[in-house]
Amino acid sequence: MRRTAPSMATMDDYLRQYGFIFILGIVAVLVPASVLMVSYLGTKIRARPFRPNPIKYDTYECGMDTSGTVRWERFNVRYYRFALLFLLFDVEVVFLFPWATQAGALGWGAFGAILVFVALMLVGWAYEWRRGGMEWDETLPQPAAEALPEPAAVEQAAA
Amino acid sequence: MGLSARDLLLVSPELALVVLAIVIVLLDLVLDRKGFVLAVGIAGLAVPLAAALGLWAIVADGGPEMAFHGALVVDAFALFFKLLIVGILGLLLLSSADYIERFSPHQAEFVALVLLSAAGLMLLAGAADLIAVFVSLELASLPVVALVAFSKSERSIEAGIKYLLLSGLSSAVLLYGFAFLYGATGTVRLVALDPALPTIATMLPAAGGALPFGGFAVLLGVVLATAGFGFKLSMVPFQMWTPDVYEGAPTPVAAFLATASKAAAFAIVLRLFYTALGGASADWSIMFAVLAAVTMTVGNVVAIAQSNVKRLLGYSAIAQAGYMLIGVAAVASDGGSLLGAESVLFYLGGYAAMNLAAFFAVIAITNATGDDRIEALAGVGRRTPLIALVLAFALISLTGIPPTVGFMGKLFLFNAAVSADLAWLAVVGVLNSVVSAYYYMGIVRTMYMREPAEPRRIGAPVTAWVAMGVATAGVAVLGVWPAWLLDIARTAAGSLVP
Amino acid sequence: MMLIHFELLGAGLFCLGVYGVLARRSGVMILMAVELMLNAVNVNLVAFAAFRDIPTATGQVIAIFVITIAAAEVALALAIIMRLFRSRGSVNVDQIDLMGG
Repeated sequence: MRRTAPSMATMDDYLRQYGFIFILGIVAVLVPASVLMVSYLGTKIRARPFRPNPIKYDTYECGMDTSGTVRWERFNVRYYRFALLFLLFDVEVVFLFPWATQAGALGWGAFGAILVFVALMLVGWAYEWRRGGMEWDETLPQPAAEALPEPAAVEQAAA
Repeated sequence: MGLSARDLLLVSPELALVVLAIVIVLLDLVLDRKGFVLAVGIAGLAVPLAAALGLWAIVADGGPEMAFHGALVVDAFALFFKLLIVGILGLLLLSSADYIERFSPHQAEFVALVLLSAAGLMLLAGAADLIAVFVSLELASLPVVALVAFSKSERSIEAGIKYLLLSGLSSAVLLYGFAFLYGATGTVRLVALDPALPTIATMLPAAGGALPFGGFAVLLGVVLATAGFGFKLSMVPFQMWTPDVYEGAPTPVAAFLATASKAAAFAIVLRLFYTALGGASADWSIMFAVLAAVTMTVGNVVAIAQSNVKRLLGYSAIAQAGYMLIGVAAVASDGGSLLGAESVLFYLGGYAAMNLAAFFAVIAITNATGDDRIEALAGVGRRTPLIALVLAFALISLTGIPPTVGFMGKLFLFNAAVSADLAWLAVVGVLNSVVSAYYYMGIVRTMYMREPAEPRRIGAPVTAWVAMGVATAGVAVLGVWPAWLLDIARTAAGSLVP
Repeated sequence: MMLIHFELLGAGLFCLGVYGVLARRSGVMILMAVELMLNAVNVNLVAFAAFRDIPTATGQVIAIFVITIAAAEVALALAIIMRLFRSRGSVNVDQIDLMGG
């Protein structure tokens, strides 16, 4: 067992790549900040018209009229079922990735094994589908609002 | 790489169970009638049974086989547990025929989850590397979590959440231990761990070779892994979940946990410590001896105060785990004799029979009365003489009174302890058996001496009678003629040490 | 970067997880603490694999299995916790006392 990383050069290269992400982050902050700054200065020197109305001040929500507030809005409980399903199928795909990077070298035997794995996933998918797990069930007995914690309860739990 | 026909043949019992579970779920999706589920499940068990018997014949001739590049081993030891688990599964499905009606229309899911969990347990018995141990352990426990929470009752959900959180905690601890074992030895293969152990002293010069297990990292790994497995074994101090889960879970699930789950957990503990850490047996033998003494004492003493029969069976399961830990601890100092492992295997077989008989009788009675307090057993001896007899016989066996398998099993365990210079442990075991007689016989007294609250007779479906009959016959036959199971257990334990 | 750094990170995360399991009352929070413990193990495994004389992928393979199994565990847990909430109106596990355990 060695006490330092296998090759410090590779390790440092690897960490250095985070430097690019850091630089990207700075650029990502600077661009909108400078645009806002230019816009603000434009108002100051009266190069920009200033005619406010309620629609302009509304929160942008894909062009739809906004509904509710942005504070502790309750999600419909039905979303959780889809989130759970997504989580499961999404994470199981992690097994496909190592195979995919080496698919050529591993040959048909591994391809067969992966097919079995995908077939098992399909069984799970078929079960969800036939059981109505992917329906937007309007007749769910509990209304969404009651099926989720009160904001107070969540804050209490987090405390 | 990839799948080979030989690998698939070697895991055919598990494969058959998984395919059976999938077939049941898919059939349930396309068919409207639900009655077929149990019949298909029980009939389908013939395939894994035949596969395991066939593999036994192969292994008996040609020695152990490795599958999937050494991740799984198919030897007499693994097959002993596979056969035991298939047997338990068959009886359990038979006995719960009318119990699972209450889960309608989800009987198919219930049966499929039980089958998947059993497949995990069977893989666990044959796991030969740490990855396989972890994955099969989770395959075994996640379906059980769902099964524990299967009833609509609040107690069931509570038990489910308790089992889930503690099981998640225990597997995290277990994994942390595995990480250290892997880090210290550089291998995940159980057979390779032992030769790799001496190198730890060179890896950690500060620790030197003086520490138990040859190094601090391995010591940490072993302790954490023992804690993780201790949860599955309901070993003190990791037993807190047992009574709650037994009480809250559907009774067949509790029976499954008490017999099949426990058997597979003992299988992997025996394999890990005998095969992978056999060289350090002097170090862990005393650890298990102390744990065994504490576990059986706590289980038995707390069981006395119980008023719910399922809870009482939970504490009884803790105490029985303590007895079996005696066998794990009783490794001969020269490492030559496998008397301890052998007696654990024998006791697990007998324990499955007597515990299943007790659970089947409780299922039949509580199904009729809808009340699982010990009070409600009053006068059952008059309301249903035969079921009461089954329960009484099973409890006599659990106490360890001849002519039952419980007596024989304890005899072998205590004998193994004495021959491994752990006579004090055998004495603790005998004292505990005396304590346990108090509460086991208390139930028998309630059944026969007390007046029934209502005179209505209690019946049971034919399938439940068959299950009770087989389990009781097992208790009696093994009690008077234990030699054949002991021979099989000796063969199985023999393959632990290469 | 030394192996001990990764070990300390792993141990720290693991202890945070244990603290979370012991101190939190909400079932969801306990679950997150358990996930933290599993990720601490992953850090350890990957580090152990990378620092071998001949680096192997074994540790990473275990980590992949841990991640997927943890996801399955979370899905199951959230499903049960949602049911607990429907029947109880709370996700706190310290209110679980029907059986006095």
